[in-house]
Amino acid sequence: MRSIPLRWRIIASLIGLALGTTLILALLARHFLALSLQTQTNVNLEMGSALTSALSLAKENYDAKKRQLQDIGQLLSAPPHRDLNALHAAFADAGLDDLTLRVSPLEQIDIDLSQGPVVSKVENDQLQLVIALPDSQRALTALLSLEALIDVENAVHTYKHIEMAEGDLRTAFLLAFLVAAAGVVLLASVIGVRIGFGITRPLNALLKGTREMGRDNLQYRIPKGRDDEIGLLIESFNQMAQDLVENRRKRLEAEQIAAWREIARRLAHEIKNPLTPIQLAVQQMRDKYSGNDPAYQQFVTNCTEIVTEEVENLRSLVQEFANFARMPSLSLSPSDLNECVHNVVRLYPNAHIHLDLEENQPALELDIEQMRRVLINLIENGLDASGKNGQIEIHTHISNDTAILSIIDSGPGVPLKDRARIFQPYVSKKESGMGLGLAVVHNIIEDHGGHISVKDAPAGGAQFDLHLPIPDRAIAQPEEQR
Amino acid sequence: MARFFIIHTLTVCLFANVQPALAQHIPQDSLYIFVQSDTLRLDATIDSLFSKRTIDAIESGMTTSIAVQFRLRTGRGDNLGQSSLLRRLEHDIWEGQYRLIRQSARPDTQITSHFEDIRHACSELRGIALAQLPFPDEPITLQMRIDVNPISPEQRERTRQWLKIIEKGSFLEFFFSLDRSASPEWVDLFRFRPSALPHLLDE
Repeated sequence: MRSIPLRWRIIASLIGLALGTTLILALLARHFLALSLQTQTNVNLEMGSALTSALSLAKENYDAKKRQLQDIGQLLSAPPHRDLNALHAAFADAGLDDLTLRVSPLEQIDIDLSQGPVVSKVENDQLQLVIALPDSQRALTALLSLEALIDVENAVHTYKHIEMAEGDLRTAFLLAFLVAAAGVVLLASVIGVRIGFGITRPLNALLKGTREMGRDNLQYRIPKGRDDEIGLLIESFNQMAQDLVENRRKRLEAEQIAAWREIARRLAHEIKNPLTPIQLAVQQMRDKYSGNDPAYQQFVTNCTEIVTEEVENLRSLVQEFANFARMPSLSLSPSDLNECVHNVVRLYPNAHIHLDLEENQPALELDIEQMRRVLINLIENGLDASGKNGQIEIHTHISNDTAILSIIDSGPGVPLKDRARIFQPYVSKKESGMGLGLAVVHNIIEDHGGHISVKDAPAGGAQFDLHLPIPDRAIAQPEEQR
Repeated sequence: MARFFIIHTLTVCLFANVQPALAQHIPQDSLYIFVQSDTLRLDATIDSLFSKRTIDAIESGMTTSIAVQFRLRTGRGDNLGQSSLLRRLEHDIWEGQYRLIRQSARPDTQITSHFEDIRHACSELRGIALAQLPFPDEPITLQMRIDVNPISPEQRERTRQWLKIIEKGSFLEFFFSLDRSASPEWVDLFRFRPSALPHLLDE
């Protein structure tokens, strides 16, 4: 049975986590809400009871004030006559301080005062006392504020309203919480999807990469596009693919060289053996001639010289084959690359060779004899390509953990189409030679753990760059000194 | 004043159309539908118009609006007539007086010290004109809706200020509103054919 893809498992886990957490929170919230409301209900009962009592007290207070106003109204409507200050004092003596008193002509009052003082509620928040003063010409209006009592009434009304809406309010709180929780879960889902895809998309790319590798498509590379650990993994994968390409190239070259060497060895063996008998036979033919014909004598001598010369050429060629076939294994020792360059350049006193060598280079692990052979090959190639007044430049410098030696000539350079094949055996643009020189150079440099490349020099001509590794201890030494 | 002679009394118990009535809990003892002078009229007694909670609110002095509405509908949904009885009940707890104010073209106010008088005035509905005849002779449904609301707009505002959390446009108001925006649903009470209705004679 096919298992659920990682992407959906991650997404499901994150959503499940969010949902689970929210559910637990919801249950807790519900519990605490119920607890709170239970407490609130108890408080409400107390509050309701207290408010009802307060309203009863307020009603009693209202009735008492009304009676007080009626009593004092009876008192003030009888002689003696009182001025306004005396009226204020009379109300204060009765415990009614907070009153507004107004005296006005009797005819302006549209209340029937014939039955005595009138007490009534006006404006919904005031008690009014109206009396005819003893002079029978004026009326007194006293207004008592009921604001405090009305406040109690309003509080009771608001409490009852909230009590009526309590159930709906509780549901609203729960709904609001659930909507907020749903929002959180939705957000978690979106984040989960993003994280899930963020993780699995590069993994899928890696999977595709490995499949392409399996199909021998070593040129396939995964776009990096991120700087985190997954980005490093992709970078490592791409580097591995690059290394595979490089190793394959080296292996193919090694196989090719080995094949060429075998051919060279056999050729040398097959050609070398008959050369000496041929040379001796021809020389004997010349030496054994005892005739008197000087023309024929001359003819034989000329033919012998030609054959001897060609045999020598063949021997030289065979030697070249033999050298290529019997390349000795390297004998490495710590060596100074610049010193090696100086020693070789000394062999060409008449050539125009300019040196630009970086000093204080670390010692490299080199086979000095083989490196001499490399330099001689490259310098002679350069001189051949540059012509009579040709210039050769040799540079050395260090780049990271590599020593780079560049040999630049002033010749026509190497055409782009030939650069891939130029280090293969039997490829030569020269009229003389078998085209083994650069192949030998290439082998020696590869055996040193380095590599060689060719390109156009900035000022024209060919530039051969030799990259030679610097040993670890040579890198570590300067750091330790620091 | 006209004296009615009841030819036939239609006592309509709620099993005539039980389900919607139960849904809104509109209780009524009886309905009397009759024709008088080409006008379809209704006598109704609405029992338990005031719930216990509403009575409690009224007793504490909360101003209460009372709306009782009737309408006649054909099977096709056409409205044949509608009648609304709108009242406002105020209770002055300080003076112990109830004021029932009828909100109509001819407003009047009933003042009493006894709540039973108010209950009676609101529950006993007599001679309510529903529509003018003639009607098509097809089944007609009498519908009713009642809205007794002890929360005045002023009280709503006071409560909103008290609660604070339910501001206008707040998150919580999305789920809960002190404003009662939706009116109660209409409830089918009785289905009849006009030809089957009793006729009353004018005095």
